[in-house]
Amino acid sequence: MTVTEPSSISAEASSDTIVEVRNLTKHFPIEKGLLKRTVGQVQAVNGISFDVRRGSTVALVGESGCGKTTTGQLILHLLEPTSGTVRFEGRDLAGLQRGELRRLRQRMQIIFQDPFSSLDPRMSTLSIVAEGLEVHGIASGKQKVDRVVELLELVGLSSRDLRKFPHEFSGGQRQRIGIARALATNPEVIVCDEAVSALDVSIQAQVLNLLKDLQAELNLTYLFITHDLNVVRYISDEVIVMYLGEIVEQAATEDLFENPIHPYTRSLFSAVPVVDPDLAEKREPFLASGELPSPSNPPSGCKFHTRCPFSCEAATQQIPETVEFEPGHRAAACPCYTTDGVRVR
Amino acid sequence: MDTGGLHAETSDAVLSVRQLRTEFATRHGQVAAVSDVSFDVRPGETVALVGESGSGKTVTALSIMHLLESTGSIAGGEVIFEGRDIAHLEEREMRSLRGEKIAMIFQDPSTCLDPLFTVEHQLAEMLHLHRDITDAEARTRALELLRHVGMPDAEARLDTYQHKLSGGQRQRVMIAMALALSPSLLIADEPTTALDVTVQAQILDLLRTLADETGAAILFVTHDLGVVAEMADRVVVMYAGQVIEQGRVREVLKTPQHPYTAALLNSMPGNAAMTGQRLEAIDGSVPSLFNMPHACRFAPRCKHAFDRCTVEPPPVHELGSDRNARCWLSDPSESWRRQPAEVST
Repeated sequence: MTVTEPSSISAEASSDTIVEVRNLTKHFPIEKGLLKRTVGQVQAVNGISFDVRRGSTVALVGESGCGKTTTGQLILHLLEPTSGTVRFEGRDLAGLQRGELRRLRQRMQIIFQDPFSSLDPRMSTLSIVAEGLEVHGIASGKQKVDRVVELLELVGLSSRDLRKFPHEFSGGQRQRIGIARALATNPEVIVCDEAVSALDVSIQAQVLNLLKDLQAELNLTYLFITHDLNVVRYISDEVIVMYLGEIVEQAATEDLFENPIHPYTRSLFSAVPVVDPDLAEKREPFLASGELPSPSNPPSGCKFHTRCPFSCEAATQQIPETVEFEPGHRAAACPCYTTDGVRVR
Repeated sequence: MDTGGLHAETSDAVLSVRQLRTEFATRHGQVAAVSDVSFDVRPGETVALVGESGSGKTVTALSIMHLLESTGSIAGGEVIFEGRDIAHLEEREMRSLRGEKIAMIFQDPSTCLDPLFTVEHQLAEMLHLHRDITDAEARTRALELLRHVGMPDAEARLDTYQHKLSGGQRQRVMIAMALALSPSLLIADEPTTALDVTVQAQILDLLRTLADETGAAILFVTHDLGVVAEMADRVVVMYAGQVIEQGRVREVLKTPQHPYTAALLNSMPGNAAMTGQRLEAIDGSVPSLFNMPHACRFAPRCKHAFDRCTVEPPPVHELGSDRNARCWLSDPSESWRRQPAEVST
């Protein structure tokens, strides 16, 4: 949470910031024809900035095409940004030599959504989890096996699972293997890309609890990429809401859920089905109309104006500025729903 | 105690499923994916069939429609539709029933739409199959249907192919096709699971409106208890191929009688986030069809299980009108074991 530091998007991040993202942009060219002429750009991520505090969980939320997964890959430097920087403990990833980047990668890992396709079906649990140990020259031989057993026990599996293959496990167990693999190199930051989205709710609860326990035990920092707002509310300390490659709102989790400001955030909240019939009645009526515009041809001005119930003339031209409404709670302030920084209901 | 499930009030129901048993032929012999499933759907009512993967909810829906894979077949019980048992109806008769009287929509509409034909062609084809109309009439009706399901720019969409449509638009086309012949029952199998949450809200809204207008009953298959709460009048909870609890939505979600229903509610992260509690995961995983516990199927994962649960299969206990649970704790002689406040909501 950024409560201790009112404007965390200052030029310098505070000392407990582990990942610092500034004006990060990624455009993918659309190529056509034999000569691969560039005919357009998919603006996947467009000038986003945020900080991740050590030991915290920051959730990146949004619907498909909002750029959350691309952001995760940019942070791990699996993709080269078009412009902007990602700093890990103050060091710009773009300026690193290959060896330095590799050493840094030990400290940043990723867990994927699909526990079925993210594990090689021909590899045993031992080789899957040990791969990182070998690649980074951390352990070999007996030491390696001991470390893998330790990791399996940490995620609720056991040494009996060492020689088994992925098909012998259920979806939840596979995701535990994915977590053990991510933990092998003693990382500090883990990007969880829809890590629990493919799991049934009872199994999802097991994995969420495991991730929370591991965080407390190992002081891990999570960047939690998800579309599921219920999961966000449970797991994260801070939430970043994205729409068409931009951050529309950002706040401490409870602040955001208690007091959403941006019309898109409010639309998201009003669209999530609620289990408790009493709470469902108290909910705001559903707001957003239509569907997501193409990220290769985004709307002018405020990108949400084509679906926004408050849309006005100004929103079609003016790009809204980001305003800090309360300490740590920032949102793109569009002229349609704010006058002098006050929300129009 | 009535092992048949519900009382014999089948006369007013559109659909009465009675002790349905569906088996699949496998390399290891016949295996029952669904057994002893009984529930009713009354005219104009929305009934949710809810469960996690492997619960048998989709197999139940496909059994009703006679759309099982070739290895699967109904091995016992009845499927009474409008007073007639259709469990063993011949394919020719079934084909005239499908679309005309019972329609179905699926999670992934792109598998149901033919990529080689336009939207108009597919709507018209179905109208021609069941109605004696001219091409011009079919086009007019197709356009009417698309407008009715809220398709943006409906006239232009008539001549498009499915790959030009978004997921939400494809689902609208499917709904238009499903409701074209005014069926008395619509079976919807996870129709919004693949959609973004703001689009899901639009489609759920559309289904609710259309059901009200046409008076069609809906059997809504889903894994999402939030969707159940928003859509259904009554809910049928399945676990490991059996119905374990059913009743009016509000009653089941507020005061679940089966420990599995209660555990499922407690493992939802949205509930726990608001109360600040740790998620109550359900330990273990769903038993394999080949290795089903012979007494209560949930007993190995149940916090409240006692000796009887692992010895004697629990019968379905009737608990007032429209309410039952397959659990020994609902037996009057065992009710002293029940602990108060099993759900934290």
